[in-house]
Amino acid sequence: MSSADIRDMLDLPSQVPAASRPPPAKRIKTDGKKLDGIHRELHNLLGENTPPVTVMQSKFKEKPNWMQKPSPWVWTKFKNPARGDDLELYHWVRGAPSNDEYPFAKFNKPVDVPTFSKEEYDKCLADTAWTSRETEYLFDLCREYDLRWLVVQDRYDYEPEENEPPSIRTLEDLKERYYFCCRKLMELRRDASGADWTPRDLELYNAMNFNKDKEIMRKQYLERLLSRSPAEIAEEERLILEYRRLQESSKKLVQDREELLRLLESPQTANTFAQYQSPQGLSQLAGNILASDKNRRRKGAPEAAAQGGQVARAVPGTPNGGAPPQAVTPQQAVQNGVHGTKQTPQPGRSAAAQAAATPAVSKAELAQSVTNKKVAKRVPPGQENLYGISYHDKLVQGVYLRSTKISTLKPTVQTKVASILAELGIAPKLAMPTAKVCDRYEALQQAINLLIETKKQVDKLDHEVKVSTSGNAVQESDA
Amino acid sequence: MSSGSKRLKNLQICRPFVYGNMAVPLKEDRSPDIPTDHTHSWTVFLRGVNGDDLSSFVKRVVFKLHETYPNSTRSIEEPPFEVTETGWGEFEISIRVYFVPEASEKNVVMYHHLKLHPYGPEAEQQKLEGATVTSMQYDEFVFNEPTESLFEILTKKTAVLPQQKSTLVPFSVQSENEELDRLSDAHVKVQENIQRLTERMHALEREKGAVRTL
Repeated sequence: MSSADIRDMLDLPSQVPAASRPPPAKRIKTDGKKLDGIHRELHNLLGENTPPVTVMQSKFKEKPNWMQKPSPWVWTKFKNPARGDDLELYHWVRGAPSNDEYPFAKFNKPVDVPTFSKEEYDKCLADTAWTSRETEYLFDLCREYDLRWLVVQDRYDYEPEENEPPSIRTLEDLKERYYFCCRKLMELRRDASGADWTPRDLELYNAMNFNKDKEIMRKQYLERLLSRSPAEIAEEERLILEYRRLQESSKKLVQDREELLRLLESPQTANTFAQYQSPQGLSQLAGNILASDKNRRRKGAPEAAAQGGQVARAVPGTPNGGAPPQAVTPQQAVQNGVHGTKQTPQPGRSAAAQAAATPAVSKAELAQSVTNKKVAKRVPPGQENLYGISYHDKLVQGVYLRSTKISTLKPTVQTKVASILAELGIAPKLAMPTAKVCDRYEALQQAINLLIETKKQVDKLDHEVKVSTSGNAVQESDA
Repeated sequence: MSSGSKRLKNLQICRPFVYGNMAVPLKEDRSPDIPTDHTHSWTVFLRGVNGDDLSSFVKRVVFKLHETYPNSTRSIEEPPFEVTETGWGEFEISIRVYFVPEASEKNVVMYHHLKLHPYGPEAEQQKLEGATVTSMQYDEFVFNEPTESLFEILTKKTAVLPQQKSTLVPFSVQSENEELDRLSDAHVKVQENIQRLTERMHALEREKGAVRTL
């Protein structure tokens, strides 16, 4: 349907004449190239058209785009002001050589090794192991070698005078002497000038707090650390891991203990059971239990004997015992011994009917009767099914959808059952899962299960019979 | 303990309800803010049979739609518990029902496959007509050992299924009975088969005994 046709149909005036419009259809370019061999075959396969996407791999990099004009390099002479002599060297400089200072000269920063006068030395730096001359020698060396201790130690070659013992100084000795002197000098100068230290001075002072023994030990430790064998390293790793694990478990242990303690402490008794520890108290307790048990039998209170404590609460004046475990056993004994109930006025629960309960009344029936009464209050007896009420013996508390409670069997059995159901024309999902329907469905499933079992038995027997008959046939033929 | 939160032992009370969806293809005169690729307008709902009110014991219903919907978790706090949307695809909606606090019960969840396209022998015709497509499922909440307060709430009104089927309420006593009948028939057939097989089993056992003595 081109636009010309549409215009024709709708009797619209035609547009600009065709010649001036570009032809709407694209003409496919024909290749006049002659192709040989593989290329011809390829083109025949692909067709006349070239593929829509071609991957171009440019073999050469693009021409780099320089923003600056190229500048010449000049072989220039220069002098390093950091040097003491007048050495002149040459180097290449880009463009025009500038007369700026040699840029690396600023890195020649000397270390601040303090100098001291003789008075200062006599005042605070005197030491039995060190002469003034040796100290000065040390300081000179430090200044010379920029406090590089390894170099200082290497070059340290003090020639003692005649009456002095030869000096054997370890690196730590040198350091100690140096830092000690520096600190003392700092203190001296501060006291002399009266001005207190700046924070930076204080930092410096603290940093120079050299402890020789510690340093020696530290180096020994490092040495040992470096010279561990791989076996030792593995052992150490293991130990660390074990330690960490032990920590964790101990933490957990503490937590558990806390929780347990909290749990044990939690039930707070209203009164102590001290009043029951005397003989009269015990008899009183027994009496209470008896009474509450009678109460329970009459009123149909909750079943479990473990709830004896709960029942005891109904009787006023009985404390929430710290003695439920004790209450259970005498209660059970009492329960077995009680025959019939008396019409003694009992406080607590709502007034019961004048029922003469038989001794063998079961707890379930009692509970049932309680529920029945409650239900009877709300719902007239005949109409229970209108509300969907039903009674069962064992109920798990909670809410669920009926469709979810259809029992499932083992998967293999389930598939067989499902196929049989399909044959019978029953859908796998129930259309209306009401109570009756579900029950019947369950029954059906059980029946089908039984059917499958029976069929299995029959097949087995069949097989056995066949085997026996064939076996007999073989025997007979042999005989 | 107050009497409200005590549970009634050995008691089971159930309430039927219906959940599902309806879908209708969108016509030409739809509002422009619906995206153009949506083809249907659908409503997923949870309601009582007979149009009963569930809000007496259902506090809120949360419908979890497909993630591509904005605010895909729709929480409906008051009746009618339904969500209406437009779309083009069928997916599984999870329906989580929370009960009133007096019930002291945890929530239950059910899944429903959203049905938009008609199915069956009249599918084509229905498609052309633009008929409403429904997919509903009957189910029952079963409360085991309900609390007293919940019991009182549930016994305020009776919950009976309507006798007859109707287009609005496709679940009724009649349909229940139909299902029961179907199940009974199947049961009878199965029993017959079992009978047959048991007889055969006895026969085989006798045969086996006979063969052994040979």
